[in-house]
Amino acid sequence: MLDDDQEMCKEMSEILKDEGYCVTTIFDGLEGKKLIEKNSYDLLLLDVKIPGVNGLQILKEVKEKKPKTKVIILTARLNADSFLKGENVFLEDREETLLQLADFFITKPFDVEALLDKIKELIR
Amino acid sequence: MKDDIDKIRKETEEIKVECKEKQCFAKLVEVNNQLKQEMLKRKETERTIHSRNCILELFGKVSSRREYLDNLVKYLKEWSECRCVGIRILNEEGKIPYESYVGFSHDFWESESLLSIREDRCACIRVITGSPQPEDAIAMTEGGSFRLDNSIEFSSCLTEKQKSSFRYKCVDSGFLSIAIVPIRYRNRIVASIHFADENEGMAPLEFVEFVESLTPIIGDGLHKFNIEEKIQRSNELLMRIFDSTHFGVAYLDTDFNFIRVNQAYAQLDRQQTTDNFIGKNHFELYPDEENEAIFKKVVETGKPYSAYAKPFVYPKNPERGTTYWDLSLQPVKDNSGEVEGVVLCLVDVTERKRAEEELTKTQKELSETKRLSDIGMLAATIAHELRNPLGVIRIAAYNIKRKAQNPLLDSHLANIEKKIAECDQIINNLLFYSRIRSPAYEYVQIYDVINECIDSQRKRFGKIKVSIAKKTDFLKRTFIEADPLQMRELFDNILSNAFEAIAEKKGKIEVKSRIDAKEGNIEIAVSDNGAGIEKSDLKRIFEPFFTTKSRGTGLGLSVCYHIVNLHSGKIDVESAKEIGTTFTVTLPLKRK
Repeated sequence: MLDDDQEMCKEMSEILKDEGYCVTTIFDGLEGKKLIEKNSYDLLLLDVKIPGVNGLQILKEVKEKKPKTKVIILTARLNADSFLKGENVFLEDREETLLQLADFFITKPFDVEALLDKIKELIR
Repeated sequence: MKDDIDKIRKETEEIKVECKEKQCFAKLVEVNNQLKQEMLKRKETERTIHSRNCILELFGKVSSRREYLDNLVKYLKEWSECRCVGIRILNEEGKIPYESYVGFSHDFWESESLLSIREDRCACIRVITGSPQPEDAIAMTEGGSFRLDNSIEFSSCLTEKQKSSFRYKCVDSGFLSIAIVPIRYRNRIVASIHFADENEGMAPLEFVEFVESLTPIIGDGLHKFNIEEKIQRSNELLMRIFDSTHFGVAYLDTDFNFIRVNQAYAQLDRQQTTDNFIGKNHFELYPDEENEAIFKKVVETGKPYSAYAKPFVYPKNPERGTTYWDLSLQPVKDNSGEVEGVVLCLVDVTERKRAEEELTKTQKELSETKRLSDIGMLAATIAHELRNPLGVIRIAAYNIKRKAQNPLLDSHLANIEKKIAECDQIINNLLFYSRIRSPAYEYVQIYDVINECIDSQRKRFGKIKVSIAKKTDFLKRTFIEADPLQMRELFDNILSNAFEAIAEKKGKIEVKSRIDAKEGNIEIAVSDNGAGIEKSDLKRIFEPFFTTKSRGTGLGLSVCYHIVNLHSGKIDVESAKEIGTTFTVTLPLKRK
């Protein structure tokens, strides 16, 4: 899980660990980037806005280099609903294209159960 | 002897008597002759006086130069023995056309009228220019006229060189008698009178001198009519300018009675002609106390007044609405400086004013759009900044619940969840508001949209008992060109307001619809019997962030207003406190 909000990472990793997943949390963008390049993860929980790196850029690289890795985007910037309906004014076209690469995205504050269900579904 | 002497005496006496008688007779003859002369002179004088009178009378009788000249020619013909009489006028181009004539043939008139004092040579030109040549001398009178009893005889006396000074048009036309008399005005020759006849000696010297004696008053007359014609022409020009200006001009006396108005002024008030105004009082036609005070001040002070885009309502035609005028009021003063009237100038600037208002509105909308885009940026930032901590709070609450496994905490955690959801809703509203933009048009079945909105609002306000009357069934087959998402947002907001308005009590919501095929519009009205809106608030309900509710962003109706506007429709509201509110949305069936 790559998110610059440490509390978010902490709270979420506890839940995921209790659910039986092996979790690495990183809140520094550059360090995260290195780790992702080095290791092969089943699934990435990725924030879009991380100081130092662009979450969407990481998404692109992951999908290019490690296509087996699933990616869930956690975002506070847009409503997942409206994005799915083709509405968004805060993303540039390039960003929009990149976002399409994600396996799923979910808007903060999200329903934890829903996220857990999705994770289960993606790395069954 | 005595007898003889007596006889002689007697004879002498007789002779003496005879002589005396003869002397007397001679005297009588002389006196008689004198009397005859005097009578002739008197007749001559009377004739002159009569002729002068005739000419002078013409001044009063005729109204144009043309008429004056025609009558003059008629008189001269009467007074002369000649068959042909004409008057040539020297014009500004140096031509001397016959402006009136009798007797001359049309061909003669036509060719003679082209003569130019600059290019042509003939006696008639030298008379009118006052420059006789030696070859003319024999025919010239003291008054400057040229006169011939026999033109052929005259020309036969000329040398070949001299002959070239004449055009011979008169001779060729068969005129033996010719007389050309100059007409002067203040010592300047301005015209000439031509007499011509086929017979010899028809224009004797006495007659020519008689005509010469008349020419000063003829000259005066010509001048008078020239001036009159010039004045008339310049008057006509002024009137044409007056009538063809696009702004309304009226001249009023100091009591504001119309003396004269131009076409444009008359047309300002429909179905009026310029004559309709004359003599009528401005403020009887257009009562307006404020304007009357202004007019009076101009008359009293003699100072002009002007105003730009002054609003005016026609009291007799209020349906024309408010019109706007650029107005100027100029006092007209007499020689002593007293105001004797006012010139009122009006320009209808209603269109311009409307355009200006439109521009102001557009500018306002533009700045509103700018504000919205600023709000959009702000909303996006807030959304991100708030959603992150909210997200953590939510997960943390989930963790507490999971770990504590304590039912005593459940209600508190549920409250946290609920408030997180409320915060999220506020953020969503802000985001939607900032995202409003050009509709993505599709064919939308409006009946379904309304039903979906009713259902979702019913779910949201489940606890409130509301009966909904739908009079929209006939819409089932109606498709309109609109943005489906925006339509959904629009009716969600309107219905949500209706539900909120009847919050506590049992209420009734009615949805009605109507299609105006002529205008190509659909009208959807949502009425509730709820709390109603304060009159003072009605004007502001569509403003962003205006709210009277304890909760909410005050964006719902503003969103509606923008959505409807983007669809070239309109939204109206009617409300009465404690009775209820009706929102009416009018949308075009087809995209505009």
